[in-house]
Amino acid sequence: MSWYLTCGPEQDVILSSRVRLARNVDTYPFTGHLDDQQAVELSQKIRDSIYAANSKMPDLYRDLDLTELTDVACEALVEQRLISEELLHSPNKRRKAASRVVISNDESVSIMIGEEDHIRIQAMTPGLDLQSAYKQAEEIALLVEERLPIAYDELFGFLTACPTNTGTGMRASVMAHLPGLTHYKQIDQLRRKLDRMGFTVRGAYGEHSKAVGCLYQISNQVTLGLSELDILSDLRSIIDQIIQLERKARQKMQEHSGTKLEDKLYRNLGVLQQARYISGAEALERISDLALAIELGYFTDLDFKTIKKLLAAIGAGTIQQSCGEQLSADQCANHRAKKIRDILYKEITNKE
Amino acid sequence: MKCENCNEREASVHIKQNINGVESEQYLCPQCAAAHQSHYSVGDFNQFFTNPAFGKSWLGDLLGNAGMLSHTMPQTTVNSAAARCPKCNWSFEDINKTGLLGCPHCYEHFESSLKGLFQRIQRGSQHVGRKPGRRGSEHDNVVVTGSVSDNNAKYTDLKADQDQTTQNERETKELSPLEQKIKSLKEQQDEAVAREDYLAAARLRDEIKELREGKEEDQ
Ligand SMILES: [Zn+2]
Ligand SMILES: [Zn+2]
Repeated sequence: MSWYLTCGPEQDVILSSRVRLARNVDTYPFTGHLDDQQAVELSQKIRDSIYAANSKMPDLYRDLDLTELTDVACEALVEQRLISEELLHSPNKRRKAASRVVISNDESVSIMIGEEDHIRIQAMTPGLDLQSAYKQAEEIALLVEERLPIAYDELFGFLTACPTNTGTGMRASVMAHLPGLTHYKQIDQLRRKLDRMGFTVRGAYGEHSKAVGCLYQISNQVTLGLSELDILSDLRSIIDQIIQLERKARQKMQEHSGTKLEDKLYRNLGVLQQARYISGAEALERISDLALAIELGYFTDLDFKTIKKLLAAIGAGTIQQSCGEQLSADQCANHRAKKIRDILYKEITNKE
Repeated sequence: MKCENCNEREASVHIKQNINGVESEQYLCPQCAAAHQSHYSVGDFNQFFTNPAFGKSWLGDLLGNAGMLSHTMPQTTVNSAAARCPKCNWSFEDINKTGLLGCPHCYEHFESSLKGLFQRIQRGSQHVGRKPGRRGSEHDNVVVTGSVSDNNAKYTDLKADQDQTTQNERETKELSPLEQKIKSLKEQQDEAVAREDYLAAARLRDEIKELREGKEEDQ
């Protein structure tokens, strides 16, 4: 089963944890300075180094050459967070030469080749589990470090294209659902506080200031001068406190707005079950409210797996890919509404 | 000709600059020229430190869009090979513009300028994490728990998760004397790093390493 449909620790606040490691091959310039021939050569070398690890690799991973995929297929990969926008396009929005991604069967691990750094290893786990994510990413890092000359310096650590990643080359993050703290307008304060401590809070979807669906990405800024473990421990301790704050805020919200909130959340489920046309942003907001209702214990038929199924299904690329054709925004909104109705119907009636 | 700054090394860099309309010229060695450059760039980076997203060339975005470089920095013309990385031909100005280095060798070539930058945007410029090809020796036994190692940024408003705290206590009790010693040295090392005393941090790191290696031999 795909990792993102399963649940993990502290699932009511933390949807998922992710660790990314950036690595570069010493004998080549950074990605932006490679000519097409070097890019192809290096991309092949990195792929081979991963596959050379053991004979079972082809059974455990699949390897996608992004230059061979359709735009819709690439968009779907971005929506599932298996690749970044950056991997797809060069700064001039042209599809990059020789970009590829190696993805594990459960899609928890993806290795981007040809991002801003030659290699970006990413591991994701459900709920709050930074340690497992780190271990998975480190295993892959070891594979490439054993087989390729990795750019590393005794002083600066792992050398990356951007100085904000130098050192550990590690970016650890969690995706947090914070409807309570959002409701009490605490996010800006939290953001300022964490910024001073070297951590970033950003909307997981949408632009920096406006977070759609109360979903936030919280990650480390510092990569040099602290060990991987220190960074993970600090992030973990901050997240533990945010979880407590968020749970308190939700409790307060429920006590204060009692029936009104209950009414809003039940109506919201009604809309999701009946809608015929729904934009991506509206879907996110409504799924966020549905998650809050489940968190507050309103719909016992539904659980966080439902939320994960819904979140995985509503992306425009994902919808078009499952329809097997290119759709207009209107057509997408229509298909999205149907997809949501179907998932909820199956979940509520337990007809898998 | 000797360098005008250190009077030791051979001058190979010619720097022309214009500060508020006053022109001046200097002949420097590559080392002093690099230090000279970092002297002027470091302050600029400081005020632009916001929230870098992974993969976002925020340095470049900010410096480029705001055009601050030309306003706040003296106009410097450096006529020398030292101003460019010999492997990728990238200059420090290019780094300012794009927020990206050209190749791994750029780190060595622009070392002194980068050190200044890292003092501002990172926790110093000494890597203390794992090395390539080696497992981070600690984390197989250590659970990632919640103890903020940063002294000047304690988040004291709320207590950490209760279950987690009891778990921490349990783990502390189970540690052997040697492990406790390592743990206490590790804490001292964190403190040394926090106050940017890298000599002490390096000494403690070596001490920890020795203890660990001794521990492995015992087993
Ligand atoms: Zn000199
Ligand atoms: Zn270079």
